Amino acid sequence: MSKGSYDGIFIVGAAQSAYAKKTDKNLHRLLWEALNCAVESANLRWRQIDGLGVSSFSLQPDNVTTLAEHFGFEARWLFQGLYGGASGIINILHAARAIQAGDAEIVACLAGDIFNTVTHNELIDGFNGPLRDYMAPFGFGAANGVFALHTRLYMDKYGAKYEDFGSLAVAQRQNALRNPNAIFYGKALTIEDYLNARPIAEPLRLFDCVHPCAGADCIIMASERVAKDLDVPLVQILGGGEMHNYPAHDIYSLRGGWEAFRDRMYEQSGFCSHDMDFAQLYDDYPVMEFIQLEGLGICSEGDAARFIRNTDTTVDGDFPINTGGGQLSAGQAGASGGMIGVVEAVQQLRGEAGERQFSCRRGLVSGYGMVAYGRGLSSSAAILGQA
Amino acid sequence: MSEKLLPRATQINQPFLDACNDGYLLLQRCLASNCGENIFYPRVCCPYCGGGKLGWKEVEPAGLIVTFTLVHRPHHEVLLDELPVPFVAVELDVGALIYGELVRRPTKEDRLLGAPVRIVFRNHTADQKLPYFEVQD
Repeated sequence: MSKGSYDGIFIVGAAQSAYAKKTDKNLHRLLWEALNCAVESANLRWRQIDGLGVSSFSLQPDNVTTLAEHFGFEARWLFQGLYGGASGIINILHAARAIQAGDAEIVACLAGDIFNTVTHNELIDGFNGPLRDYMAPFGFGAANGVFALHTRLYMDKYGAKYEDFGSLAVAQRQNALRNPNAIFYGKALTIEDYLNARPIAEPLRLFDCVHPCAGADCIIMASERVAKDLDVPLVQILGGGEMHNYPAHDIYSLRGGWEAFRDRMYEQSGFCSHDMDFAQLYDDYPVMEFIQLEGLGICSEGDAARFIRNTDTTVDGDFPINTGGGQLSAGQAGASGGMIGVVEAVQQLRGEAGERQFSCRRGLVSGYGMVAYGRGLSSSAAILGQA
Repeated sequence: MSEKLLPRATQINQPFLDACNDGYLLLQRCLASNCGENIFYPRVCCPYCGGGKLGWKEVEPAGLIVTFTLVHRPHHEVLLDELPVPFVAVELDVGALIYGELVRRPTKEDRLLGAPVRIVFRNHTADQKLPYFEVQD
């Protein structure tokens, strides 16, 4: 086993609940739906699960421990994601280490939330101390304002244009048109629609911003001993990493932390960035996808706009990005935003992505979150591949 | 909501809030001999060296706009009568980043990045002034 590798651990199941702009279901039920489908996709039985992770902003006063009781699990390993949209990937990476160490054998990694624009703004107001006390008293525009500030700076520093962000958003919508679970399924988006949309927090316009919604996502992981008898397509974690508060004291570096661990991640995997068949990026805003493309070494620093101009990122293209539509076109169900790309990657690698299926062997997933004083503090990424 | 949010007053940030009401900018400063960084927002320790000895120092209320946005969709109803809100990130001349609003809508938007600003202390609520920013020509 090479140093730091995730050998002997497999992703054996993946599923999503229904995504909806509005729901009369409660959050526990949505989480159960995703979990139940994922357990089925793994050919496992409910009672075999001995570890549980959950990432959710609206679960309180409940938590992963009370959720385990609600579901009736006798769990010997629990995880709660406190890294915003970086949590989903961090959950699978930490679960893999627990399974490697023998602390658990079959772990369900859940994420989900129920939000609309009003409740999402309320969440951001109280998200953490520095944001609450030194940004929210002003008309900062919540998350939209925070990332408008980064987008403005990115455009000024690297010469990216509205059209560059727009072409990525439009390509993701084309992917969403093949994803019946996307909240914008059946709703085409043109570059003119994107450019003519009303301003939200300049330079951001409507289609730069995610639509808060309800939904849940689940990944099931298992040891080799369990996985080899399941008779399901297996997916491996080939490499991964996380980084927080990087670079410290430099809010406007236009970096997110991926560059701090990407070399180690690629080394673990035995592959380089050019070997990736797709990327499922954390798309709270297009500018963060640009920064991820650069941080993950898909293109060089400041070169994402040119890369997007020259690359077809739809599922029919040369380098598909956010192949289920991403959060921008499938919806942001709170902390599920950090897991939606993992579920999409696993379904693609298992050959279960329906009419948006494309040929792939391995690809990148990345997460980002915990917006605090001026920026998101947490980044994560993993390389997933067919076993 | 009828009134704007304020920073929650604590023993850590009270000197800053009091100084705002008295019309001057008070920042924490690390007292470690090999550090001496100016710090904003107020904290319990220095985030540069980890030291726990912090003092307060009046600093020049001036800086440069690092980046800005015009917010058309604010997160609170109370802000709806002043749209769009010009929200700025300002690097103070003494080296700390602070956020706030411009006192008036910019006339020359294209020249805001890097523009020098001075802080004016304005009533944010009836009882509390906070830093606002005025672009210097």
